[in-house]
Amino acid sequence: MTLVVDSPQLLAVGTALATLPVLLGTHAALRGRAGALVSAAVAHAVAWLVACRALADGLGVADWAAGGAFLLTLWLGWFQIVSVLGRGFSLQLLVEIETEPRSLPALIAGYAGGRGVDWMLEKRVRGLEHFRLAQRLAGGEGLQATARGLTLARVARIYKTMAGIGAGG
Amino acid sequence: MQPVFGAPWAEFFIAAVALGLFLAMHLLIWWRRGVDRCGFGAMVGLWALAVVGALAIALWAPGSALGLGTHAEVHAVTVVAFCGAWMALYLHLYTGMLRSVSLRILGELLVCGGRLTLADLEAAYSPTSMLAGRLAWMVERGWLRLGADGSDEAIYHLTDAGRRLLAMRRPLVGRFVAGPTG
Repeated sequence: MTLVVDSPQLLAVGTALATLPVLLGTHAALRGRAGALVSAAVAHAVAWLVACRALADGLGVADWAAGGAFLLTLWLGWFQIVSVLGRGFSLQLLVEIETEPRSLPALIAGYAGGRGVDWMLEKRVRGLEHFRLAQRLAGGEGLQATARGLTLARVARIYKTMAGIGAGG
Repeated sequence: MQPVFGAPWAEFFIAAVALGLFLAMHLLIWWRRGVDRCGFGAMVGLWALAVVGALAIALWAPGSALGLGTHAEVHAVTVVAFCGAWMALYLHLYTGMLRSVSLRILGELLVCGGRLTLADLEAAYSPTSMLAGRLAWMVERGWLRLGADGSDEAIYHLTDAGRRLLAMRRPLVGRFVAGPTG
């Protein structure tokens, strides 16, 4: 078996990278709207396809696969960055401390511009409800996991046990 | 001999072998040395090692035994692109398992038979423990330092490394994230 580096694959990968501004630009334009990330990824994919068609004739399956896999890598990387920026708990703590050095009780009370840690927990609970992983008990005093939520929790427990992470979070 | 795995399946297969090698090494290090000893940098290093290992296996192992065919061509760029996608996917899983508050809440729900009051949740996963662990981790990373202001409570201060990290965040938040973060 031999290992080869073909220029059509480099072209497919390079085009995915060159059209990255389409992903970022579309996301910035749709900021805050539902489905902004998915729309940005679709726009990026279309731009990549058009550019590949214009730049090269007859790309093979391996070439399209290389470009497609790299496109997926870019999306997942960007989604990770956006997730840390928008939901990063540790990063938000740094922002709080940059404004004013604080103690642990002051951070708990004043988290996210005075909203407090309860606001952050409420945001997570809303997320669990949105993805139908849990629902609020009558009166809103507690939470009930759905079958889907329990399955996810079981999978997570297996992984955490294997890796020795503990409870995580 | 005709390859069983033609392009791009041969490349996908080699990337899957790299993923297997990476997972084995990653979990072994976690078991032996603890999660904190295997950070992001170590993960990237392990991935590079796993990709090289998988390519070496594909090159030197009898091709027919792997279903690749003895004279088959494997496209290196496609292998690396598939490995990149696996790595990015695993990074989501890794950070989610390690740090996700939502997954921790689901874990507490599982332990309590699927139902929890908010008071039970606070008792099992208190805001104090939630913040204290993260603050200790950031002190260890050199983004924060502990000082005192004369009272009994320790005060957290931002270091220069922490300021540099926030300087990278600032232009991105304004452009891509709407509403309060955290």
